[in-house]
Amino acid sequence: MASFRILAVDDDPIFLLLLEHVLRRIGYTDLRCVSSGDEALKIIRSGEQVFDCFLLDIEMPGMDGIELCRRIRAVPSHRRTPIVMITAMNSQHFIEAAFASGATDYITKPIDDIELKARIGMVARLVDERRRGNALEDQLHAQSGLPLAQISFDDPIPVADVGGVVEYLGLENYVLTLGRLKLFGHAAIAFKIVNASEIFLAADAVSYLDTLANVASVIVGTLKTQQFMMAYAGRGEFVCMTARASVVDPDDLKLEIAVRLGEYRKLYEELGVPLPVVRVGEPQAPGFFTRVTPLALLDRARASVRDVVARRELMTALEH
Amino acid sequence: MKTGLPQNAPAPGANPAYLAALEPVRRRFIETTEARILEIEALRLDVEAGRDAEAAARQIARIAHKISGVAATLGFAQVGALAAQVERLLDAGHSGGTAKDRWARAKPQVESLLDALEAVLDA
Repeated sequence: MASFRILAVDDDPIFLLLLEHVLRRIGYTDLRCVSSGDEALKIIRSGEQVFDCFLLDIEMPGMDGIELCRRIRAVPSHRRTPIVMITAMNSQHFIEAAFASGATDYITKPIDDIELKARIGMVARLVDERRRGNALEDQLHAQSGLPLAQISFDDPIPVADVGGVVEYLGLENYVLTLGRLKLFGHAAIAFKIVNASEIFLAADAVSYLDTLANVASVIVGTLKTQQFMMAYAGRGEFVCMTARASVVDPDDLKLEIAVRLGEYRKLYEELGVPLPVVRVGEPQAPGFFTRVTPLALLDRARASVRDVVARRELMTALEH
Repeated sequence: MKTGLPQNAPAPGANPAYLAALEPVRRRFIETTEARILEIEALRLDVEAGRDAEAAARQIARIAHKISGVAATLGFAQVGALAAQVERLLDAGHSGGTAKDRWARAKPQVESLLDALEAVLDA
């Protein structure tokens, strides 16, 4: 196993000792433990050690794990570092706030090595894939002077600095935590930049990421609610989970997004990047008597917006 | 027995080899248990006498939270389950009411938890 350095934060020394033993049993030996959020931030900000993953207890005196998660996310080098929250079975109501603060996943106390192995294994694979991507990026940059930030069109790239927008993996893990009843109160709605591939080809990586952040902030501005969680899923598509009751008509959303994006027309022209055109899918809500898995709901939302785009293309073709 | 679990039953899925690997942690847990019993006893007197009852109840919940986070993994499933109940019953967010009300609801579970912790000392 490649080196995988973990920083664990919990105010209970016995839990930290237990974590150390269980992690060692499943093959993770590079662990640093601290007992408070303040201590963790001091180490992180000093840059004396690089961490590949954070394990944060949610309920700690002083700065709790959710606040610590938010502050770690504000450190530029840790915008994408996996953060796994640790919560008691009694305290699952904290989970939503943890995901909204940028958590990647969570595990419950009391821990068992099977769950820990699965969850940490998932984030270790994620870190490994990113390392391989970074190595390739460095190689390309050295050989050809291509832009430093190498990104893929298909990948769910994290969009930085837009409130309520989290990593796609975080959104998936969040919907998985919703039970059937809670899922019933939600709807998934997808947005697609129809000319994303043109923008991807016309822009360098930095401009493409800026475009995604711009579109994300425009979408967020049209949602008219603070109760949502959105992520970029790749291929120009965003998926948003929101309360079923606060769903807005997709056509109204589409028009408002177009108007707001139109305000940036000149800027896009100067950059030589096509103005993003966004379509909105039909909101997908689970029926009470039909079983839909949480992840299938996200897929259905994406399928719906693709359908909207395809129908629109067909109509344009027929008109001509 | 309220939880229906046998005294100090191993956590579901735990096996002797697993527990043996965790023996140093288990020992440390047992070592801290006596101090925790004494602390809960002292806090219980404070709650019952109305001496800063809110803070005392919160501190008992805090101790219970720490116990419930590790006990089952270390082979003390009943202790973990009782500690989780005590934490929930004493937590104002979960249970509501004044410290005195919450204490009245939690008291039998606290007694059972103290008994179960006493048994840990004999483990």
